[in-house]
Amino acid sequence: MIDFDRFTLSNGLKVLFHKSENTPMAVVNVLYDVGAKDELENRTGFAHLFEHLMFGGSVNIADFDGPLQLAGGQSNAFTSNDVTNYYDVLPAVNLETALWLESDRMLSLAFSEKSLKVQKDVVVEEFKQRYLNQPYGDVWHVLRKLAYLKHPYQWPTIGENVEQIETANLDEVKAFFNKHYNPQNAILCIAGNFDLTEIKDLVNKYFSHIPPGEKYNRSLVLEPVQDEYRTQTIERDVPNNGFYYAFKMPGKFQEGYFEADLISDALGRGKTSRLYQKLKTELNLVSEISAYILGSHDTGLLIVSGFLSDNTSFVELEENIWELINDFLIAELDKRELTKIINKFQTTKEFSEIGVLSRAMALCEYELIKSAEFINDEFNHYNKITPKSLNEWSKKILKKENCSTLFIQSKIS
Amino acid sequence: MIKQPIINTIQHVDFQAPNKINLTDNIPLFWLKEDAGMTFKLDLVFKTGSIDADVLRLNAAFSLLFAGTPLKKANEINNEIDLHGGFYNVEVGLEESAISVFGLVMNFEKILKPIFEAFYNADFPLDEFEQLIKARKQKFNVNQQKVSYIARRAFMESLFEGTSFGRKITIDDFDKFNRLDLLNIYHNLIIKSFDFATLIGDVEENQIQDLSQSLKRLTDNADYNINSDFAPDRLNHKVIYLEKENSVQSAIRMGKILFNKSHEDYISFSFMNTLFGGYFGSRLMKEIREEKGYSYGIGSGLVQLRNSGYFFISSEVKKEHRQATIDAIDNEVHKLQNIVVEKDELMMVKNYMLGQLLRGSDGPFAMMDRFISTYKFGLDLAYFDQWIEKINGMSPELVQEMAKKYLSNDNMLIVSAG
Repeated sequence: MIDFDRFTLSNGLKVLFHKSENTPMAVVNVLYDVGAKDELENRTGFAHLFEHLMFGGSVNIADFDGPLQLAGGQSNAFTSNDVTNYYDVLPAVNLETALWLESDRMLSLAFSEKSLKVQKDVVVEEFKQRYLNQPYGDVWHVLRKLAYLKHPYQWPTIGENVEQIETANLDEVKAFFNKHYNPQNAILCIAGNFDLTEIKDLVNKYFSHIPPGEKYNRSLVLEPVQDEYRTQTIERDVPNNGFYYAFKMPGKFQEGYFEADLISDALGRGKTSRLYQKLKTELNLVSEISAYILGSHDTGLLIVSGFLSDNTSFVELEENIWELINDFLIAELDKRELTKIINKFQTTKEFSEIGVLSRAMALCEYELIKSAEFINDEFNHYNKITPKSLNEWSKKILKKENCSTLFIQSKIS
Repeated sequence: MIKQPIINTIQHVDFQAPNKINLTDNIPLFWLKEDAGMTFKLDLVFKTGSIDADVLRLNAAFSLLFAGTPLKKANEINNEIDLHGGFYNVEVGLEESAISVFGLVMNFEKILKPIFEAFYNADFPLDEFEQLIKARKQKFNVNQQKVSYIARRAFMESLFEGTSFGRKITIDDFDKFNRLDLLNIYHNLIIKSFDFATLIGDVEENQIQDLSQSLKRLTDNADYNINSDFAPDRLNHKVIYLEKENSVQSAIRMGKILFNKSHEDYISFSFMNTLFGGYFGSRLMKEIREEKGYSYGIGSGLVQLRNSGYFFISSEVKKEHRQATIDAIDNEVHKLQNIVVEKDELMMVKNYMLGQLLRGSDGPFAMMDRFISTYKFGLDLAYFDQWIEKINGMSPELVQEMAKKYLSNDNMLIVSAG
C-alpha cells in the first residue's frame, strides 16, 4: 500500500507527495507528457535530443549538474514513445536544491548553439553505439514501421535516422520547449521523509511563478485496425537468425491490457512458459525465445521474439509457433498455470515498489495514464482474471491478421 | 530569479547492521528484517569463482544447478518454484559465486523447498547440458561482433595473463568438457565452498531455524581452502589494438593491477578516481563526452579482489577518434598529476561521494550490500566513519599524489577494439 497526497498549483502543475520515513534520501521526479509520438515525421528523435538539452543549463542557472552534485545528488532521465521523465535523487537535507533546479528548467532553458551542437554529437554517438553498431541494432526501426502504418509509434525514440538529428536547429528546439515543457503538461512527485505542509510551501516557493503556458492537446493519427498478416525478412550481418512477432494489444491500463500482460507471461516468460518449453526445451528449434509487452500508452504490442537454432528454418518456426498459439487458444489455462503467472506478477510488482525512486516514477506515470491511486488497485485487476477472460482476450489478440512478423536472416553463412 | 538554496554537507550516515546468526563457527547468516515490505531475498555465497576454477566449467555448473535431479526434470522444478511466485538467479564472479532466491514472504517455505531439493540433488542431465553449451556457443559468436566485448575480454586476458582466468577462450573450448566434469565441480568445489548467507525479509524466528537446517549439508561439508595467494602483478606497459574493419565505433579498455579497500591508499585513490572518471562531472566525462563529443560515455573505476584489485578506464568512441581518445585520456592523467585541483572541484567530488554513500544505503537490499562489502575484507561498519572522515579531509595535494603514484603510463595496459 503506497500512501501519497496530491495537490495542484494554479498554473496547472500536478504535485504528488509520498512520505517515506526510513530513508535519508529525497527524490524529485518530473514527468513531462511528451514523447517520441509527439514528434513530426521529418523531425524524429527530437524528444530524446531534448531530454539531453535539459541538462545543458536553464535560463537562470548555467550549470545543472554542478549544483546538484555539490548537494550530493544524482540526476538522470529517460524518453519513451509516450513520455519524458526526469529524476533527481539527493540527501533529504538538500531537497531545495533539486526543486530550485527543476523549477528553473521548467521555466526556460538557456538555449545556446554550443549546447545544441554538443548534445547533437552525443546523441548521434548514442545512436551509433546502441543501434547502428550493434548486431540486430535496427530491428525496432524496421519492426515499428511494419506494425504501425500511420501512428507515430512507427519510429523509435532514438529517431528514424542520424540525419534528422544532425540538422535540428535552435528555433525548432525553442518551439518544442514552448509547446511541451510547461506546468500544465507536467507531473511532479516528491518522495522522502518530509511533511505535507513543508512540501506544499516549498513547491509553491519554487514552482508557482512559472506561467501555465499553452495546454498541449494531443491529436495523433489513429492507427487503423490491422486486418492482415504482415511479414518482412531483412538480411543483416548477424551470427544467428532472429524473429519478432508483434501482436496489437490494448494501451496501458485499458480494457484487456492486464489480460494481454498475462498472456505474454503464459506464452513466454521464463523456462516454464509455453513457448520456451515447446520450442526450446522439447523441440530445440530456438536457442532463445520469450514474450513480453511494450507497455505503451496507446495501442501497444505484444512481442514474441528470439533466435533460431542453427538448423531451423523460418518456415519451420512459423508452422510451430502458429500451432502452439492455436493450442493455446483452444483450451483455457488450468487454474494452476494461471495462479503461477499471477503469483509471479505479484512478486515482481512488490519488488519494483521497494525503493523511493521507483515509487516516485510510478506514481507520476500512473497519474498521467489513469490516476496515482491505481498503483494500489492494479493488482486486483490481475488477480481477478479468470481462465475464461484470459482465453477471450487471447482469441482477440493472437490472431494472424493482428500480427506483424519480422525475420532477420543472417548474412554470415 | 530565486536564490540558490544553501547546501548542507553530510557528516554521518546511520547504517543498519544485520543480525548475525552463526550457522557454524565459521559460517554466518546475516539477516535484515525491516523495510522489505512483503518481499524476501536469500543469497547463498560460495567462495569459488572463475579465477580459481575454470571459467567455462564453473559457469556451466552453476547455470545447471536447478536443471534437473534423478527424479525431476528442469521443467517440473521450475514449475514448482514459479507456482509460488519465486525467482532465482545464479552468478559466477571472479572469486565468489552466489545463488539468489526471491519471492514474497508468504511463500517462503513453498519456494525454498523445491530450490533446496533441486540444488542438493543436482544431476546435470545430458540434454540440458547440451542445450546450454549450444546456447553459450551462440552467445559467444554474437559477442565476438561487439567491440565492447572484444576489448573487455582482451583486457582481462592480458591483465590476468598466466592464470587460468587469463587464458584466451575460443569456440572449441566449449566442446572440451562434459557433464561428468560438472558433477566433479559440483561435489568437490561447489558443495564444499559455502561461505555465508544473507537474508532480507520479515520472516519468523522458526523460519530461520528451518532455514539453518536446510543449509546443514552445505555447512557440514564446507572445507575448501581458497587459493588466497592470488595477487597478480603487472609491471609492463602494453598496447593491444584489435581492428574490426566495418566497425563504426571502437571500444577502449585501459588499466592496471592495483589494490582493494584494505590498502591504506584505497580511500584516497577512490576519491581521485571519482574526480578523474567516476561520476558524471568527471575530468574524463567533461573532456571526452561534453567537450569533444567523442563518446556517449566514459568512466573509470577500481574493481576489488580478495587480495588485490584492478583499475580500469572504459569507453566506446567513434572509430576515427580512437587514438585521439587514448591521447586525450593520457593528457587528462598528466593534468591531474601536474596541476593542483581547485577547491571548488574538490568540494564537488566530496559532496558527490558523500551523497552516493547515502544513496547506496537506501533500503534493506542496499544496506545489506554495504555491510557485506566491509565484511568480505574483514572490516565492519565502522569503516564508513573512517571513510567519511577521509573523504571530508581530502586535499588537492593528496589528489595529485594519488595520480602521480598510481596513474603512470609505465604499467598501464591499453586495449582497443574496433
